[in-house]
Amino acid sequence: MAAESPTSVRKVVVHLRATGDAPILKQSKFKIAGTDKFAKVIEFLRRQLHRETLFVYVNSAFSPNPDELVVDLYNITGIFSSHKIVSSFNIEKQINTCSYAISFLLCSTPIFQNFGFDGKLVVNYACSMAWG
Amino acid sequence: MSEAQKYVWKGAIPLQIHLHESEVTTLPPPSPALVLAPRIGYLPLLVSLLKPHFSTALPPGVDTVWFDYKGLPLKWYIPTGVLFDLLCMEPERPWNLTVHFRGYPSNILLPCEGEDSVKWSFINSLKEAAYVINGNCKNVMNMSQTDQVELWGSVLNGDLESYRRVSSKLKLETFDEQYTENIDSVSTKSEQTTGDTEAAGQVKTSRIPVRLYLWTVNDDFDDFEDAPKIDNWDKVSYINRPVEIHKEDSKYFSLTDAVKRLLPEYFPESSFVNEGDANINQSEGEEGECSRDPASSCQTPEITEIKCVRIQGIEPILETPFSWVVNNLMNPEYFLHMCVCLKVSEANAVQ
Repeated sequence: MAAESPTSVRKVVVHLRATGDAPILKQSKFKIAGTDKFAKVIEFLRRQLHRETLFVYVNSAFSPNPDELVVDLYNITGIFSSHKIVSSFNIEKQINTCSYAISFLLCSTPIFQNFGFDGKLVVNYACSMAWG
Repeated sequence: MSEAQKYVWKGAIPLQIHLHESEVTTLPPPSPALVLAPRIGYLPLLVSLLKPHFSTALPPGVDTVWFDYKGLPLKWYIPTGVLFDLLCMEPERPWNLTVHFRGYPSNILLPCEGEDSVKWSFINSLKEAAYVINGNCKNVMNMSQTDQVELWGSVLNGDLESYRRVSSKLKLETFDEQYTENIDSVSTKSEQTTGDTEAAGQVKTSRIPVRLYLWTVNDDFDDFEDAPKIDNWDKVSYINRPVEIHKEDSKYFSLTDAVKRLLPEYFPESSFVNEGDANINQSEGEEGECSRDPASSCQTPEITEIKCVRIQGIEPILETPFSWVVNNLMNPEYFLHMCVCLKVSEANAVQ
């Protein structure tokens, strides 16, 4: 894809954080290509947690569109490096009321905003709607 | 509210919607449905109009309704106007779409449960935009239920006045007064405004939430009819990057500057590298030159050319002040949706 310049193929470290009564993952950090879509992170969580319904938030704030690139989300959060971003996403049907909030830390250098921020994006996961 | 905003809110695309032939169970097949679809709206919101039209012809069973254009399934979370601008470069009126009531392509499209999903997506985009602008989305999250209902209703009904009433409470000012003032005239107010801004908390940088739909071509074309068709979503890069406007950019920051700053991988010379103040000052100089002579391609000779920037159905001239573009052409969720076509010469194509 056109947007995939060599610089953006950098790996990003994602830190997953359970919110509420969501189970904590054994492996809470993993690396992902910045050019991957956020959907891949959601898919990873669904597999790990065996849940159809998950709410995934970046910085306790918003639930990104699954088509958004991980690196773009990272850069948005990188701007405000002193904050953490949580995003939530209602994956499928809200059959389940159990809620996991997901926090991801993306660790990489932003492509176009070089803030020297040490590159961690925290994503919270929940089984119920955590931040609306 | 400006005239342009009113046009954006009233903007609509005449659709001629055909039922996919595999779902036709009657003879003769049902006539296509003619619908005027609001630009700022979303395709799933039309379903309540379409169902009665096609209900008698449908096979039994239930599935999510979806649309395609020449075989390409349409992403429901993209505003209808943006889909049209992106996929129908040579505008076709009415726009012929196909509706499907069966066989949802869940490998391509996100799950959708009608209006609820669209509203969820809208509110979260609004929160994301608020995050980009302010660094938090408290104001969106703290909205009262009544306000939330009114806000969503204003989008559904294309009611700009009601939208303005509610959205003003969110305090999402993308451009400082200062920037806006400068555009109209060098007014006596601007000094005062600058003072206020500094007192209010030293807002040095404005961030504009942008959703950019980028496609590239290698060969030139003179007419949109000859432009290569987008028949696969892989051909479109979906880029979500804020445009950072620094105080130093002043009123000369144009649409071209915004596109270049958004795509440093294509316009390396003219982009900012935010490593420190020194660099910002340096870039300011470069940008200055760029603005004075917008026709020159700003030190990047012939590598990449901006072929077309389409926003809300128009192609603003590239020298248009970016603040005008944002204040007038953004969508109700505070994102500016831009369809950008770049001509990249083969040798230098960024792949």
